[in-house]
Amino acid sequence: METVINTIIGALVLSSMYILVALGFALLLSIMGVLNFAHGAIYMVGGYICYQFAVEFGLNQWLSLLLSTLIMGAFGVLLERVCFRPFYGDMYRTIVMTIAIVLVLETTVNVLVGVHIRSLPAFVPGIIKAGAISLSAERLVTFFIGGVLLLGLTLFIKKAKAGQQMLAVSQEPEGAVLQGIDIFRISAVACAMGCALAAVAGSLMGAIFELSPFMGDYMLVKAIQLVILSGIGSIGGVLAGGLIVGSIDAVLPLFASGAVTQAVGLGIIIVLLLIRPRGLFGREVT
Amino acid sequence: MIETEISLRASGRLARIVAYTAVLVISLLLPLWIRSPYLIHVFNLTLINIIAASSLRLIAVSGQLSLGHAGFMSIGAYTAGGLAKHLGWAAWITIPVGAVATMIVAILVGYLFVRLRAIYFSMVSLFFGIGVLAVNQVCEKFTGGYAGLIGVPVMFAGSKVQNYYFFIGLTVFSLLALYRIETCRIGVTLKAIAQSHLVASSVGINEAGYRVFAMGVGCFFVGLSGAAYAHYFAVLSHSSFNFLASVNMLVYVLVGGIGSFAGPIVGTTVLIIIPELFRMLKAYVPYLFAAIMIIVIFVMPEGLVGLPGQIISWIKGSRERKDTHAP
Amino acid sequence: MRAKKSLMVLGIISLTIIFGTISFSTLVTGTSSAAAADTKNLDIGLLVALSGFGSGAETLIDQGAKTAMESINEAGGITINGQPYMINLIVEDTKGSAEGSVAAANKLVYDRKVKFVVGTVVPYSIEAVGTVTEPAKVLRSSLYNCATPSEYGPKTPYTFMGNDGTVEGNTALLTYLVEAFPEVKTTVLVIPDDGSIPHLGPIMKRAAEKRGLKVLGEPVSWTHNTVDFTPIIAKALARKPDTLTLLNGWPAPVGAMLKTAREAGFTGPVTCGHNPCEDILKVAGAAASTNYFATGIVGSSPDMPPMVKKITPIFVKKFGHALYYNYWGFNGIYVLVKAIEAAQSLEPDKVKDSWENMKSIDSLYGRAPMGGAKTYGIKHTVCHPVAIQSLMNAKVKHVKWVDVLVP
Repeated sequence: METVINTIIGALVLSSMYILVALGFALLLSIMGVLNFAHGAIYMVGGYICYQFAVEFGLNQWLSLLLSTLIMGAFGVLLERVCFRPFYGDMYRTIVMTIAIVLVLETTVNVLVGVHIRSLPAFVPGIIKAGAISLSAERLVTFFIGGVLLLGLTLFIKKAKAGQQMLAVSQEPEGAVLQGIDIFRISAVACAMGCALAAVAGSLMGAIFELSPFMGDYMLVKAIQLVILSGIGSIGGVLAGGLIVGSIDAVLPLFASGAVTQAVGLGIIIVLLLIRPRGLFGREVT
Repeated sequence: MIETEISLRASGRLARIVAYTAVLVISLLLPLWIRSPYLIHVFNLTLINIIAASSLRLIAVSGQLSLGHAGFMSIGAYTAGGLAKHLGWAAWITIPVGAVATMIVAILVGYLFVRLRAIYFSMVSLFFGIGVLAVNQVCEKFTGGYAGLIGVPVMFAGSKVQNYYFFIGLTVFSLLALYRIETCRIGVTLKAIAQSHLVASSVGINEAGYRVFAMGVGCFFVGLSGAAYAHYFAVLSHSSFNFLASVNMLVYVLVGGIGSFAGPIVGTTVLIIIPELFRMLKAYVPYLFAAIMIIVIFVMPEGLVGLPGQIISWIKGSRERKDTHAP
Repeated sequence: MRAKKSLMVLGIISLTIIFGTISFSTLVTGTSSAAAADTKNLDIGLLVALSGFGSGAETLIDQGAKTAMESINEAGGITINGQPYMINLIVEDTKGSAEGSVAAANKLVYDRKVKFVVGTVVPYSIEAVGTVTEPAKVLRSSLYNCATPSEYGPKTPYTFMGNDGTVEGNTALLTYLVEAFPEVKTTVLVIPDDGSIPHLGPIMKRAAEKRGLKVLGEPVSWTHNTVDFTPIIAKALARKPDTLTLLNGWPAPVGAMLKTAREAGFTGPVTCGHNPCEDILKVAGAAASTNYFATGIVGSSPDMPPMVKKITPIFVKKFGHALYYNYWGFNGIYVLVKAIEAAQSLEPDKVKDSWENMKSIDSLYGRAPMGGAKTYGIKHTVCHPVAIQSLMNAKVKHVKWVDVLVP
């Protein structure tokens, strides 16, 4: 019984972590229609920058998280201007560009600090024990942060003017322009937000797990799984996708070896997509 | 006007035939000039990847951007390698078997995935590519799993030069086949479907059938390249066929120029040979790779194959400008 | 049109700059064949992952190896049949993958024509390199092995083990564990799913049982790309062992496992060979870093052999640190050079025959007997003493040296 409770909690927490990582990616894909392969690399750099401020410069860790978020947000604006804008609408060249960015970011970090094993100290140290449940405090905090950000982003898209503009641009760019929406400015805002979210995820994950120049690769695939399963076009749907993927990853390894878990997990996702080719909550894509 | 256009097209075609023949002749004579077995080895890898990249392009022009192509290559490789190592079958049997096995899987997968459009297809192909390796690990008795399949019998006793000629032959065969398919009616229909599936189906074209066909043919050739790779490299491991490998193949095609048949050929060659020549950069090699990618997408809208055309039109353009500026 | 033109110019300038920088850096960092008039060079290839999987640790191995080369050369190199030779290390990046390893090995064997190679670490990489070096009869001193026959055994007659592998390191740990914790009676083996389980599982089970430790159930496996170890640790702890025997892996996953285990409430000792305490501390965090034992070198401890004491300050001066993987790389080169010197020949065949018949050989950690005939099928293992270290309350301490003789 104790294992069951801990497993359920583990599944919820892992789902929230995946959702946190996927949010920035989901924003850019669902709302801006940009397949940002560099998301994993940005997530990784965000984590390392937080480490730099928190451990090397000795600042308060939450402050470092904020600084990392701001820096990566600014980087997102730069990214949009230099890398995405020239290839607006050209999927192929955008893909090549994002892959090039991944190479540059990963190689730079690897060459600078790759040899040093780094892990952020826990944002909230300690273990919470309640009866049979044993959970680290930082995972619980991450769970809440993930939930809050998901809710916040969903509300932003629904209610905030900028959010609605982003939605308009992704659904019908020409119509949006006719409405007087500055596509490029909105793209910059979306990109900044996407990168900022990635930085938050990277910093939190960097504390729970550890920092490595290639940590983004695995998380990128998870984010893609999540977003595609949830369907492009729905931010709130990321919750469902996250719960499914997180639960699979938290429960299956108890019964089967790692490889079987991966095969079965992917199989489940593929089957779900075959049943609903647009994802659980997605909209039609041209 | 029409005469000049036709003659231009004909001369363009002639130029292309001359170019391809020249490249072929140079390739055949290459081992006479280049003595280093290591460089021949690099060329062998390039040839294998050219087949894979060109086959990826065929699938891509039918409107399906596959991000799991290396997964299909692994099917061909492990089938051929496993049969050769465990059952002792000879290479000339296992290679076609590997290719056919990949094609069969691709057709099955194609039927399943044909309902998925655009980016969903791409992402599911990505999952498939990863899933194939996971299944590979589950069958580790046959495939060796993460440890890899070691000791696949090599062809031609491992002679780099003999393998080189074999790969030239295989590449020429594959490219001819792919080119023929692309230019015949089937190929034209494929491109039409990619352009607008609504229009295509309204004219009565069985869109699903054509897309599955593209998958089958494309994956036949990547399976072929994988099977040949198995018998050359003798070592198969997941790291040769993972998501990164699929991305690399895609980059070869996109940087070379997806609009042109020669695109994957040029892209693969440049992106394999240049980093190999600059091995001494060690951990910095990816910078070089990224630099080539960035330069190409910024400066060459048609990819690397468009470069000669661009230079010619730039020269022509500056000549025109000189004329107009003449007093 | 003008924009396009300037873009083209920009492109050409960038290309020129890039290729110019590359040529310049080649000038600067190109492998130097620094041979004086009457000394010759002995080329030794080094295969390590400088990028990709495992590069964090293997780059440190590269540092250690380079230090060994410089240290040997400063002492005059080695003398074979009266002719002095300077060691020339040629490093190739395996990129942490099998085909990268094959490509790198091909470069060393067929392009640089080396006859002696040191490397690599991860099982598929070792096997992959073997497919190139064995047929070419290149003598290889492997940096590690996980007891799979295709990595190291009768099928790889030109491969020697200069460093302690999984079996050596972890049996040393188990020897110490049962001595220091007599109340520990049961354990669970946790092994990465990289093909070594069918071989390593039974060998380690026998080694554990020989020391009075009962292994509960089959080994728990984990894949290389696992990020969250909660279910895996839960699976292991469900069997209620007294200790956890982790085998292989890098500090990242091993540290994560320690952290997860402690967060799940497990307080028993945890051991893992080749994942030194200082690295585990960085990953697991201070709270979880207790009751953990590993094999590794604590350079500042007085209980170190003379050579270790000599090179520790050299590491610190050159790199700002003296980490276990540095010593590992140093020893890899050192042992191979000693074997070549003992054979007084530059022919791999002759060195091979001489090395297999040596009773013992000099290593960085002291005199080491040769062993491994029964366990691996060939007697090519340098059984040097293994240092046990402990991580208690976030403090790293050297514990003792354990002699290892693998039968």
